[in-house]
Amino acid sequence: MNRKEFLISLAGTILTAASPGLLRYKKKKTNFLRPPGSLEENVFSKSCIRCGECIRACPAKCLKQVKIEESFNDWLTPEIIPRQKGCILCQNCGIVCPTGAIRKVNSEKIKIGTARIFNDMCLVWTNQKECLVCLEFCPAGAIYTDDKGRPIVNPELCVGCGLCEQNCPVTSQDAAIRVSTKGEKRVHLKDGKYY
Amino acid sequence: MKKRQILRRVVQALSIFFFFYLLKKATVYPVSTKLPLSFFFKIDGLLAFSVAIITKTMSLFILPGFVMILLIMTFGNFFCTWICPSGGIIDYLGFLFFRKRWKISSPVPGKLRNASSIILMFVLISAVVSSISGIQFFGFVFDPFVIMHQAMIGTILWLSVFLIIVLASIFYPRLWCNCFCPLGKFYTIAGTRFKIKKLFVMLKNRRKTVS
Repeated sequence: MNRKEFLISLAGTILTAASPGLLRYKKKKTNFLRPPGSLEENVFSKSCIRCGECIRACPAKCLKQVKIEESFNDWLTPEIIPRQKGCILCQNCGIVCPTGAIRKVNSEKIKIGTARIFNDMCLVWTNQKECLVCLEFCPAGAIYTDDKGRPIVNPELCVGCGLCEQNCPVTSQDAAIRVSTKGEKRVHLKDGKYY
Repeated sequence: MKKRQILRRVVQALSIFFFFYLLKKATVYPVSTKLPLSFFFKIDGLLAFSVAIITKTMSLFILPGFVMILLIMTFGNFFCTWICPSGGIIDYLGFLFFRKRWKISSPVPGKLRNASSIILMFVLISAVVSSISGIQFFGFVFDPFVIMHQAMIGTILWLSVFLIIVLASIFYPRLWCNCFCPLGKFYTIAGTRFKIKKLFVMLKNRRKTVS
């Protein structure tokens, strides 16, 4: 066996060994909470050059890089994981982004997603305990209480910053209030200009 | 040392200082809107070119990259030897610590020297494929500034890549720049084959032959 044949057989062996893992691979996560002012998802993930400037500039350290096992296509792009850290809406990420994948937008236009309360986990809804931490931390005043003192989210006012989810005192991995990408507002291209 | 070489070292040192200054400034809250915090990404012509292909639009964000390409087409590739902080770090480390002790005297193998052309092709093809399909642009993994910035975030993978790039220059001077860097190759092509002066001469000659 010469060197060329050896290298080809070695590459073949590695591919065969790795194939079960490659075949098993699938996109696990699709809906990422992107920083405020991000372009539409299909354009965002293509124009983000994974420089990590936004992550370094974030004073709240709420931006994390998507891991390769979460999504190969979105690997290294920034995402907000509200349970770990919520966004303080400073828009530093939009200032430092070199390609304009994240842009600085008017604060009224910011909507990262929408929070939703899971009543079966909420301390007030299930055990009638006095909590309302989410209400105290909400910077948009999107959480109010009903006549029984239970928290309710106003989806129109919610900006999806995730501070409620970060500070939710429920001790499980998932909070009783969670932010999803539902209702998010992205910067989109129209007539050659971004809006 | 010749005057020109001293000047080059000074400019390189300033460029490295500016790179780290901006890197530090980007983490200070509130972020300055007056400073060009992503200066080195902005003057990255290959990234600007790729992003323009992918998004099929020409925005102000990527304009400085095209200005840089025009400058290089006018004056030749001054970027790699004078401005690039990555090359500057490699040069300075080599100059201060490594000198000639471990340098391999034999030239870099020919196939390895062509790697940058293949990588540049990959980056450009990746941009074109990304613009016409749902496949993502993965050309960024070879960009020197992306590698440096990711290394500064502290990701082990990128930190190791950056260290390998720096340490490889102990054996072959500027191995990364000469053999792998797609940005360097892109600027070299722009500064030699597409040099405006050369293009003008070609046009003149063509007109002469026609007349």
